[in-house]
Amino acid sequence: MTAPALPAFRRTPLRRLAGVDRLAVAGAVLLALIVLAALLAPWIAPYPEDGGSATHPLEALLPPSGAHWFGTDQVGRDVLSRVLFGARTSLLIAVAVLAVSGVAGVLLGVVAGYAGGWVRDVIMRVTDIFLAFPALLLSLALAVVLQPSVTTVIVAIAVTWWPWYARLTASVAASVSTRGFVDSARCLGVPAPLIVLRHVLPNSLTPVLVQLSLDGGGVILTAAALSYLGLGAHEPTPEWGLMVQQGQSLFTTDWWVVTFPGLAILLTAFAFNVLGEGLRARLSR
Amino acid sequence: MSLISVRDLVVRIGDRVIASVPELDVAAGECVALVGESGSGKTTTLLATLGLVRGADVSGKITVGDVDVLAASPARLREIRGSRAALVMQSPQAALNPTMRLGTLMRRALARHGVKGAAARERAREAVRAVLLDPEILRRYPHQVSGGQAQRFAIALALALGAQVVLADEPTSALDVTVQAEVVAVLRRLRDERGLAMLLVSHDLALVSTIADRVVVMRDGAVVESGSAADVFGRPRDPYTRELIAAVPALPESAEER
Amino acid sequence: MTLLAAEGVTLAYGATAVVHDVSLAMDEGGVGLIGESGSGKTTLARALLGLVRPRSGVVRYGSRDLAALGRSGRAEFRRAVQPVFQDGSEALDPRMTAGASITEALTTHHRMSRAARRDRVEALLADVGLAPAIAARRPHEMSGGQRQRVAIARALAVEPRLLVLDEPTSALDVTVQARILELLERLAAEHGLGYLLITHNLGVVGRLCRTSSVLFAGRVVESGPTGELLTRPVHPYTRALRDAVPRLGGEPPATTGRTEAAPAPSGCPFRLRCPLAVDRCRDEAPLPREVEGRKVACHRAEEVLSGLPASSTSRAGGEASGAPRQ
Repeated sequence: MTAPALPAFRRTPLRRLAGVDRLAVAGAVLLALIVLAALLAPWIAPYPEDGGSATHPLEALLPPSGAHWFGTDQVGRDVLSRVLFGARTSLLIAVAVLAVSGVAGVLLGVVAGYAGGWVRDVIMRVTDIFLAFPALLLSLALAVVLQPSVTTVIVAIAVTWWPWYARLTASVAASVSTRGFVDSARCLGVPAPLIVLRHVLPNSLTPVLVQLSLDGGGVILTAAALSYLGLGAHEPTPEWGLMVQQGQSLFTTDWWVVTFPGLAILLTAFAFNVLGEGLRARLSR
Repeated sequence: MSLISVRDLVVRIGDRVIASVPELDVAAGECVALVGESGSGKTTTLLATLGLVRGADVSGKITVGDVDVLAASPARLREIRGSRAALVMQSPQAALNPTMRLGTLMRRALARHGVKGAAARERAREAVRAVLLDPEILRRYPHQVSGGQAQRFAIALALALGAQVVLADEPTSALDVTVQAEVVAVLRRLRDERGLAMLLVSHDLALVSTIADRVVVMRDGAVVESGSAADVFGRPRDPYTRELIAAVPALPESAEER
Repeated sequence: MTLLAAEGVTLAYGATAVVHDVSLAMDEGGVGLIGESGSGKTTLARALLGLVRPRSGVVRYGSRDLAALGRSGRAEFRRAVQPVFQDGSEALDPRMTAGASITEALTTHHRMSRAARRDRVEALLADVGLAPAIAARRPHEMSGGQRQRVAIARALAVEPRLLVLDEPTSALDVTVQARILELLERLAAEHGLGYLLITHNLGVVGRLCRTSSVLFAGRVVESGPTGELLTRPVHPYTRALRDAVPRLGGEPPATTGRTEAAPAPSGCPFRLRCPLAVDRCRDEAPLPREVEGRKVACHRAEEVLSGLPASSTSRAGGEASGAPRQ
């Protein structure tokens, strides 16, 4: 997202962050490591070609060893390499979904909150309609209609995700809009779109940013679920949900194929949540 | 005898002294006002009197009644705050549990002090009347009363529990002038008729001059002037006191009184 | 010439009217609007600033109806009339530096070069008695008085002709209050500004306003020359207000014991609190009428002026306070 940094953070000396906000820092560090792993995958993966369509039938289903720390899968690909490349797919989905739904939700929400009246009513009714469907069901339906692909996953999740941000932003923006500095800008004759962008939006963002970081984990889990159901990424794209799906029947005999991508999902979702909770704790103080 | 006595009080945060009061006594039937602007240390001094200052070093000797506040156990302090001394804050409504009728609130407080049944009801009605409220107010919820009524109820609550000391922090600055006048009338009456000892914190010198017997002027944590209200307002010695007095907006005398 | 006026303005939130049929005119010089919480004074200020539309009646800018102004008329109105709110920390965007806040005002109606902007910001800050370094600070890094000065500088940036001051000093310490009032007085004189000063503090209007109106429960109950209202108030509410103001070294303020009664739904809204109320006040709402150079909405105005109730007004509460008199 192109949103400006959190104001409270910009002004906070690092040492205070380290002391008071261990949780947020822990989440941020963990997430940074995951992002780093994703970015550096081609260089740090022991078998970079296994991130793609390479197959090594002779090395299928080798247990973890010095040569393959996480073992190999059904077609002999290095699981560690695929988990590392999979981080790229999962994070790409998470970032894309949060960016699309966040931007759409926040813009609609801030307009609804500032304008009030019928504008707000219309936007909120549409939001309610989307919220009335169970999110996963709606995503599923969309994914079935569209061709299975990473883009499909992004679209399917973003469609169900934005109304939450719209609703949250609308309520925050409505209360920000009653504050003196908004009246003051109106009295200066600042045009409404500028008031929204310059004053209402920046002062309404904080809770949304917290929510976005909390939701990162949820997006990754949902994306994994869609891929798991065969509606998202498909072979040979390395994607954690897909890897879990392909490896689950082997769990009793070759546990590593399913376990390591599963742990990666868990760890990333956990990192997002810890970061979000940490942000929430510090901003609500 | 003083009901509140403060000696060599120093409140520090790190190396910074935020309040320093060498001597302060409030006797029964007396109102002493701490005046000054924000950051003068007047509220800190008031809170220190009840052992309510947190995150700072407090030294000196403070006695409320016969209790040494700085040496008292937390349980003893709670007891003082509950029954001996009433703390009246700027916005009393925030301190009243919104889900309880005022009468229930008062009955529970009395029950904690062993007063129950008909005796409690009588005590509650009497206390409410003492602050010039209709006992009917006991049937209402906090959101159904005005700011001035809530403020007076907070005082009544302390009275019912037998408070001899009232500590008030800007008790009227959130109120309209007409309502402020009523609260001040109540405070004066309680001081005169019940002999309550009052420590009042305010930045409004005109208000203070209508109720305080003695005045302590504070600035940047230190006492700059203290004495009887007549002396401090009539013959201010310190330039800062004079500045404060000059800042009070003057009202022309009314025609009939001339 | 009248710059801004309310003519029979009624304002409502949903079905409840909070301001009833109020007329008020502002020109150069100061006009006071006195009212306590719930009197509707802030809503009226918002209507005069064009932030809410009257349910009925007209807000006039010059001779034109504010609601009917076109785009350019509206821009002109925005440049001419500026607010100063109660609390600088509310009126300034917490994320903007003082310099950015003032610059926003400068550039809303005019293009300006970077250097010209910087010079203007410095000049405006100097005008309100602040050092140029303040420009880099955010609201939370300033004192209450500094924030209010920045808010005033921002209002002055568009070179307005009229300021609407809504309790501009009530959140400040007394000495700071006095300095801000001095500043406003000086600026008004230097720039030839008119202003509406909305306050509950009679001492403040006494000093700054030639004429004043007293608002009770959304109605103007008395209006006229401020000196007259303060020295010879006629409406029982004006009297109660004046008597309630504590005076340095004066007697304790007088009370009625009925201060917290709600405004009456019919007849005279003040009658439940009024020491002079008679049957007529219950049956018939008094209309404002001309009495000795002022307008009063009270059935007993003439009696009050002829001296009848000097002893029977709100002074009755004196006994309750247990204070010896005279």
